[in-house]
Order: sequence, then C-alpha cells, then structure tokens
Amino acid sequence: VSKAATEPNQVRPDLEAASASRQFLRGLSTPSAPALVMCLLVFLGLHGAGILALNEEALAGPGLAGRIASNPDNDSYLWTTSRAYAAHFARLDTQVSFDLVIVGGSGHSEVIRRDGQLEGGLEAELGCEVEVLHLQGAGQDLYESATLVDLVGGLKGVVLLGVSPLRFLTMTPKARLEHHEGGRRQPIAGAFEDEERERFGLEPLSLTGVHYVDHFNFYAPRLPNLFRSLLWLGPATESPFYSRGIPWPEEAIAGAAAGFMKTLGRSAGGKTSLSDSARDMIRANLDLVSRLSTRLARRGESARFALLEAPLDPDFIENSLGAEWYVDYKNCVERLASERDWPYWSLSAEARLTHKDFYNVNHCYGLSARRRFTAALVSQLRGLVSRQGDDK
Amino acid sequence: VKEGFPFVLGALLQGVFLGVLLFVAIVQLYVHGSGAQVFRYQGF
Repeated sequence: VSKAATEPNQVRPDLEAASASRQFLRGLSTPSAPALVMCLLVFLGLHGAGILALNEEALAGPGLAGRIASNPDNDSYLWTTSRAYAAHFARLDTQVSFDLVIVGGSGHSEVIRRDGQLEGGLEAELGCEVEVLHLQGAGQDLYESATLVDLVGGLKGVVLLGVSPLRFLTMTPKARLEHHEGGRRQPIAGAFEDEERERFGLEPLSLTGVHYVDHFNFYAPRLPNLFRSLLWLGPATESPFYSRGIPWPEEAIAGAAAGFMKTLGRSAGGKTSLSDSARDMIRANLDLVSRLSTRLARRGESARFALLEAPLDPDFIENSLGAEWYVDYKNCVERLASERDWPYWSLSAEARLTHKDFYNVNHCYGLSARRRFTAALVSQLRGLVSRQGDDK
Repeated sequence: VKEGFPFVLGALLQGVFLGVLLFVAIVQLYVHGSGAQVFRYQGF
C-alpha cells in the first residue's frame, strides 16, 4: 500500500507544482479582471510619467521656466517686444533716418560691439556720420526681425539681417514647444506668425513639426530636476541648456545635435546634408523678408538687405553638426540670398574665431573676439553702405 | 472556481505586458500618425 493511498487528503508536490504553473499560464493567457486593472494602471502610470517628463516648465529650471510662466505663449512675448519698440519709434524724431539697422538674435547681439567701434569704423571709412540702430535681441526669430524693421521709419541704408541655422530652422518650432501640452507634434506657426504673414501678404504657414530635439538626450540632463520636484527637494536648479557662462556638457551637446540633425539633416552614404524640409524653412523665412523689402520700397524707403551669419563654435560644427551639413546649409542660404540679390556674409574665418572664443556653441563674448568680428563686419559694410550712398 | 495565487500573478503580468504594449502603440501612432513627416511644408 502506497503512502499516498494512506493519506488521501495530501496532494503530491509534483502535481501541486504542475497545477500552479498551469494556473500561472492560464492567468497569463486568459482575460481577467486583475489583468484589465493592471493594464490600465500600467498605461496610466506610463502616461503620467510621460507627461511629467515632458513638462518643460517644471524641469527646465528658472531660466526657461520663468520665461514660459511670464509668457503663456510666445506671441505675447513678441507683441510686448514689438509694441515697446513701436512706442519708442513713435517718440523718435521723424527726421532721423538710419544708415544701418541690425536685427538678429543673442549670438549677433553679443558679437557685434555697440560701444562705438562699428559706428566709428564706418564713419572713418566713409568720412561722414553714420546712424546705426541696433535691434538685436535674445531669442528673436525672423518674424520678430521683420516686424521690428517694418516699425522703423526712415530707412535709407542697409538692413543687416542676422541669420543662423537656429534662427532659420528652430526658432519657430521653439515658439510652439514653449506652450505645448505634453504632446510632441505641434503646428509650427502661432497667431502672431499668421497675422504677420497676412500683413505681409503671405498665406498662413501650413507646417506641422515634431519637437526638434531628441527627447531622451534632451531630457536626460534634466532628470535631476525631475527627482527634485518629485521629492520636494526645493526648486529646480538651472538647466545646463539655459545657463549663461557655464559650458554645455559635451554629451548634452552631442545629444542635442543628434536630435537637431535627425530633424534637419539627411544622411546618405555616410554624409549628412540639409534636409528638404530644412531648405523649405529657410526659403519660407527669406520669402517673408522679401515681402518686407517690397513693402519698404512701396513706402518709398531705399533699404538694402544683407544677411549676416551668426558665428558658431568651429568644434561644434566639426564634431556635432558636421562640416558637410554646415557647408550645405551655407550654400543653400547663399543661393536663396543671391536669387534676391542680397549679400550673405559669414565672417568667422575673417574674424579668426576659434573654439576658445566661445562660451557655448553659439555665443562668444570675449572682447578680443568681438573686436575682430566687428572689424570684419565694418570692412564688409564699407562697400555696401558706400554703394548705397552713391545711389542717392 | 476560486483562482489561486499563481493565476493572479499570471494575470498581473499579463496586465503589465498589455499596458506597456498599449502605451507604446498609442505613442507610436501619435508620433508617426501622419506619415512620420518631420516638417511638412505646403507652400504659400
């Protein structure tokens, strides 16, 4: 008589194990209430984590967060800036006419000296007084530039339009990025852009875009801020992307550049070139400026346009953007500018700018670098401003 | 029939798997929903 037969209530261990694994497999393969509940919990958890991870305002640190908080959308920021300028111009002596108006972003603002070197240099070259109006501002995009130039009266000389890959290709998407709500895809154009385009006689833009920076690489450096906010450890610290004077960490630059290239570059045979959509963005921006130029001519103002490329750290171009991509970009801008008979200047070589002159990838603020760049700009402008003078 | 602990464990694991799958599927549909175009420009 076996032992099992004498103890009928005791299940054999091997049978019990087989039954447990069968139950486990049945649980795994059949629909059930616990599976449904768990599925919903996991989905909602991931969704919540995603929203939290995409929350720029909480994670960007005081720099960008402050700007977003005080400007619920980019449009109001643009309006505030342009209306302030409009009020300023309204008070200006209407007899003043400007020989040179410069618009651009922070890269241009910082590298062109405003302490008289530019004016003095031009006056020495031309032998007459030169009136320069500096309208460069941090984060200014090409729509803002066009609006600001349109607000200025008495343009008789040169409008120097600062350009850069960032201004052409990411500023408008950035405008939407600043007030997206957890989503990645957003239309590229806001009410301000639409109104401006209408004012300049252009149709509203019909663009949609994906956040231009690779998410993981862009947000990874912000993870410490995420943990700070989750653990109530106090306010977020300054993000390395937005802090001034602190070198960007190499891996963050490489990550951001990889995301940038993913959107704006096209790789073939180991070479990366400018994508068609990037060319379209450049053309769209220059079309707007063309309309501005026509508008000014109709107003009887004899302004000549010239494009000035913002300096970029040569190491960044070489190692992250890719020299081929940058050459392709510059060729594209040059071709589109020559179609409109606008000079296009890139003065980094003339100004002998090196990696050491830059405190981050697109800003250099050293006095020596600014002197060299401003001198190179004076020598370029000399020909153009005097040509304008001869035309009068 | 009263289900045992192994069944519940299996069901929870199934839930985790399906939840992740659902999330990834929805994100992919959302991001690449309209032809995975990074920028679409339709002219003036």
